[in-house]
Amino acid sequence: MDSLMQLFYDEANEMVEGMEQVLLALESGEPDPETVNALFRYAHSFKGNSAAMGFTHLSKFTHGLESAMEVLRKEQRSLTPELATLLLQAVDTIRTLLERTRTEGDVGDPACETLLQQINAVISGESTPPAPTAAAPATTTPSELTAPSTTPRYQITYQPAPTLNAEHDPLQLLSELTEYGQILECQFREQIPPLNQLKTDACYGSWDIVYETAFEPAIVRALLELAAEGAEVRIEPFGGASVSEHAPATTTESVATAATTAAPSTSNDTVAPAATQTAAVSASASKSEAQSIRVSTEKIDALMNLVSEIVIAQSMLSSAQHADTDERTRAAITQMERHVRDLHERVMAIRLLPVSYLFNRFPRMVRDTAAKLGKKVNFEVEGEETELDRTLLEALSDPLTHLIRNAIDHGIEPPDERRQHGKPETGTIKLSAYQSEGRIYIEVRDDGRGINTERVRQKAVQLGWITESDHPSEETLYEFLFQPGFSTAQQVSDLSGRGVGMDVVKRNVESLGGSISVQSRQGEGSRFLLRVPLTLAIMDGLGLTVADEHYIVPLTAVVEAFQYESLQHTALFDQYELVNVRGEFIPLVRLRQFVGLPESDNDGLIVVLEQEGQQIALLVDGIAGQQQVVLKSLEENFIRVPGFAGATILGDGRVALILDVSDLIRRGRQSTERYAAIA
Amino acid sequence: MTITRPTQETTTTTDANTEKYLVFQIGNETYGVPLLQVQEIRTYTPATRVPNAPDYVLGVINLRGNIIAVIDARTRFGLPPLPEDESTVVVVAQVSDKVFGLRLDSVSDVMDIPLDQVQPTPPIASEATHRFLNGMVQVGERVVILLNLREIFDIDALNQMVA
Repeated sequence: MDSLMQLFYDEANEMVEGMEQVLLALESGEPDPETVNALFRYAHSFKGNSAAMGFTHLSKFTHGLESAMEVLRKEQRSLTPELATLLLQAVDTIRTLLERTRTEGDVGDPACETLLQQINAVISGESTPPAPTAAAPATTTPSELTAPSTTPRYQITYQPAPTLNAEHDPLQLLSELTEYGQILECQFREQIPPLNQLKTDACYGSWDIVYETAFEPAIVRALLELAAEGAEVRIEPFGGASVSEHAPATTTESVATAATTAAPSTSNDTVAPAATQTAAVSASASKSEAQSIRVSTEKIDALMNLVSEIVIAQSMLSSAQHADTDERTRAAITQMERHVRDLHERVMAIRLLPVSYLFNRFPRMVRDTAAKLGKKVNFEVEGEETELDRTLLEALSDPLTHLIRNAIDHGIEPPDERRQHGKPETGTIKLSAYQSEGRIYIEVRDDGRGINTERVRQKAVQLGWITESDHPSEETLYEFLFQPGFSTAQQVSDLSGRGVGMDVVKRNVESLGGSISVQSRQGEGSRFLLRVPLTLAIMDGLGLTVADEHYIVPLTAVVEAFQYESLQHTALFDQYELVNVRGEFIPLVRLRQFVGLPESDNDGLIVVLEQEGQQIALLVDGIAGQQQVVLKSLEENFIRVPGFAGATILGDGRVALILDVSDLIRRGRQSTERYAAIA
Repeated sequence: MTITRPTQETTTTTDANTEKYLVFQIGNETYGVPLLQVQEIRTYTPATRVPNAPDYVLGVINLRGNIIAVIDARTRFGLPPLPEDESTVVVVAQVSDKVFGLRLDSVSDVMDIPLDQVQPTPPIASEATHRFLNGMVQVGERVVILLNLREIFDIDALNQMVA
């Protein structure tokens, strides 16, 4: 596919998603003019784009929709559930058609016409005067969408830094402003001192600007600050009165003519009508999405590799310094070091995306699933701004979808049942994300009926996993939920309950280096907690040495480190080694043995590692310090090596292998279990 | 670190029946691999040992941010390894979708190999090493033994051995 087509599809999908989100927002809340306008913007751009690509059916259908929705906008009506469902269906239809265009070109669907008729019927049935629906195509033009009344205006006071230098060019800054909005008015306020006090490099004076932009004040501020460090910038929502306040300006210089292409209007009354709307509009403007560009992950990975190489080259350069290195070179190297570190961190951060990227898919799914099952669900999301590696986010999509579906299907009770139990009819499912101790936690919580542990036990008995007389702990019973072939749903639905799922969820999460746990209280609800690493690509590691070899272990797994001699050591049957760490016996794994090196006579260090609540003591020769490491795949060009999670490149360009802690623990535990079997 | 890349013109075949081969000495004989499979030739830098890997895997190195394995050609062919010196090189080659390095004592030349004159290797070599050979050919005074890089790297065997 050529890049233009790719761009079209990328954008189109974004717009379709945008329409869906807006519809859901409209359904649940009051009709907010800005939100309705957003819906129009999406529909309108989509119509234009598809027409440009020659997909006439798509553009015609969207056009029809747009016209139908025009009534909604004019009358500022809220969406009825019926209408919302129809409009969401329309969005689905667009999505399907869009997919089909990939292979079939300009295709249409007779369903479109029916859907449009239904929508129009519902709309005209609701509105008191029969709405002129499809007959009003000309009313939605782009110019109307960006009409002055909807764009927030700001009063900007810009006072450049006291000292001007080559980097500070007020005109440059003003011209940048015009790229993001329109300068409606620009006044220069002179504050020139008497000649004998005048400094040649000082800046005397400031600008008052009336600025119109769809961007948030914070972005305008950042823009101004970026362009002029040290400058004083004041941004206020534009009010008619504030312009005249600054009237005593001695000169009204039309800087704008030099810097902008927009026709600046100097008269106050042309902009005054906007004042009344400013408050409402600026509040909704803060909802606007972050500006972004699309870059392929391949490019980012290539950039990351390159930066890693620079980091290595930098550390080689740093270590090449010696006593005779002159001051200037040293200073340059130190400065380079700092910049390279910054660069490294920033490139790393590029891969991170807010979880909202993933969470945004769920409100629609919850709505549809709940409607299908006749349940009432209020879906809450928290911590959407938490950032996570993109690949991880994508990999979490399936497990989360499953957990949320399960919560609706098995967790939340039907409304009447909830009423009987004295609960509000509408159940709540809460999806939240947060970061703690270098890991990301994602929680799916519902206030439904909870897990019936007795039924889980019965089912386990039925499956022959335990006997009728067994009464395992709650924890063990919850573990059963994640075993393949387990499902307590009495009736198999097409949504969940096929006995596949929870085990797949667990496996998926574990393959990301994460874990899943569940807590539940019967009658009150359940809580599934996913723990995943912040990113698959970067982690904090602790360097461990044996002989002249260097290994890395994830810092998150390290509990503590001791001198080996200070610990009590026991070998069961002279084989299964345990060490006593403050009264607790922990299996011992010798790293030398693990990597196939001969034992050393010197006592080393014990590093206690923990994962999933299990600990082992790892005997190493020494610790090489903490470092941030980029996780590299061994498998990509070689093979998966058991016992190792991957490899990384050290500061000197050498490769170090990263230990797989869960594998170490498994081996450590296995030997103790073998002992238990013998005993 | 010096990295030499085969230049553009050497990677193209001159006529239908010949192909460019990178040739080198191992022990007393001359061996060759198709130049098209060779990505680059670099000086040898110590590799990081991979526990439990067979002895012919010297370890892994960093190739511009990617981790690749380095295989010692001598050990792979059952010859005693030589200590490295200035002429020790790693030939970085690609087989299937994996890139790996082959450590050689030195590289000597790029040669046109007349493909229609390649003869099958007589089965005198042991069965284990016979699969490394794609045939042999007389070029002028030299006999060039053509190597099968896929068999030398043999990712499937490695997977089984290490797992």
